[in-house]
Amino acid sequence: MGQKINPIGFRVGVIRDWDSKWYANKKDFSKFLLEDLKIRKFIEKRLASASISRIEIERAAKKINVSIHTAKPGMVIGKGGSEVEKLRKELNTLTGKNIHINIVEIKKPDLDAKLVGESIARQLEARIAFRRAQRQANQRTRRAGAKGIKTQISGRLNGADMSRTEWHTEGTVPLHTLRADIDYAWVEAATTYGNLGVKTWIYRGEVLPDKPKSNNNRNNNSGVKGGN
Amino acid sequence: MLVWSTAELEKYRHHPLQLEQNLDLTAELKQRDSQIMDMSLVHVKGMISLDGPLIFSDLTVQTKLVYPSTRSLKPVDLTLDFTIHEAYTVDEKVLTPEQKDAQEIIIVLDDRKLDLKQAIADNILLSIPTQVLTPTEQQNGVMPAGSEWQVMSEEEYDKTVAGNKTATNEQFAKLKELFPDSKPD
Repeated sequence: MGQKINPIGFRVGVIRDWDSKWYANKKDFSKFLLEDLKIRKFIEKRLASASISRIEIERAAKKINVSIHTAKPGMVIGKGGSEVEKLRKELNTLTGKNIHINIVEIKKPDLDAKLVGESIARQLEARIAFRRAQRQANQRTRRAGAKGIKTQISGRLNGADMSRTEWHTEGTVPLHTLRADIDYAWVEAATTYGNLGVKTWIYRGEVLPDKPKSNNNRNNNSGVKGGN
Repeated sequence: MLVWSTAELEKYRHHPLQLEQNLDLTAELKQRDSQIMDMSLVHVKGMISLDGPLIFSDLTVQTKLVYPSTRSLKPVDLTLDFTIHEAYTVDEKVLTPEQKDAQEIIIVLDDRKLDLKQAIADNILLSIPTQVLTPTEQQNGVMPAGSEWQVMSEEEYDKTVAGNKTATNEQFAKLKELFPDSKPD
């Protein structure tokens, strides 16, 4: 087996932007970095069921802008915004700084690797047969306009005694092409037989240097593969 | 109900088993997906057929669900009307590569029993869309906002980010005062 680089890290600075956008001098850098990790961990734990894809953090003087990208803003804000107010106060206490929260509603959640992976994981936890969950996710993503998708589930599939890995792919996923906009995520499903690992790669099309990154130009492609 | 052993299904090898019935899966599905607020009876129509080592189900499933909106948590009536085409086998090893390639999905029956109720319940859960919006939310893109927080669409967010990039940084603007004679670019 070849060594595989994380497709997100491989593309940061080329076609993908950073999730933390701030500058700090040597004295503050480690403090801010740890604060970012703390904020992310806190939000991910508190809003575990809110389909959160990524959390962007920007800093300006004593203010922190946190942008939560989610498919379910309703779960983040709660009834009448009660939950987000509470979250903001908790983050203010955690950091000791003024926090502004932007909740960004993801238009096409079926093109987001984290959300697709989460959806498979939650279905596995709801005791849905893994092949059904995998096929449904792949079909939805292709219908949403992805050029390719690969999903891989590892562990005690359907409660089997011996753990194994099964993957399913449709279309193309050119991991070595830097301009190929490939979203990747790894999610865990906690089942009664132990944890299952779900990896998802989604190829959303090419990002050309003279054009801004967009999620809207998608083509269809044929070809289905699967294996274990 | 809707559970057969593979031996029982053998008698339908030459004449497919026709099905049409209403199922009450409300309690089971509410337990498996706590977000389901209510659901109607599930109408199932179709047939089960056998070919070689494979058992096929071809079903049409219709039901109505009440599910919370992903944007505002208001209840939304969801109508689900979909088909199930699945193949089942007792032993995957006996299948030829052609048989495997011809099927989109082959489910292995571990205990030699075909549980169609389970298959229908699984497929209903899988058919619930990731994003559920009320008709009003679909028509106008009004997003809620409060003090120090706001919900925005991806387009609005992209515009804000682009705006921030082009805006002049006040700290850098002060540098211009150091060179009063220089011409602007």
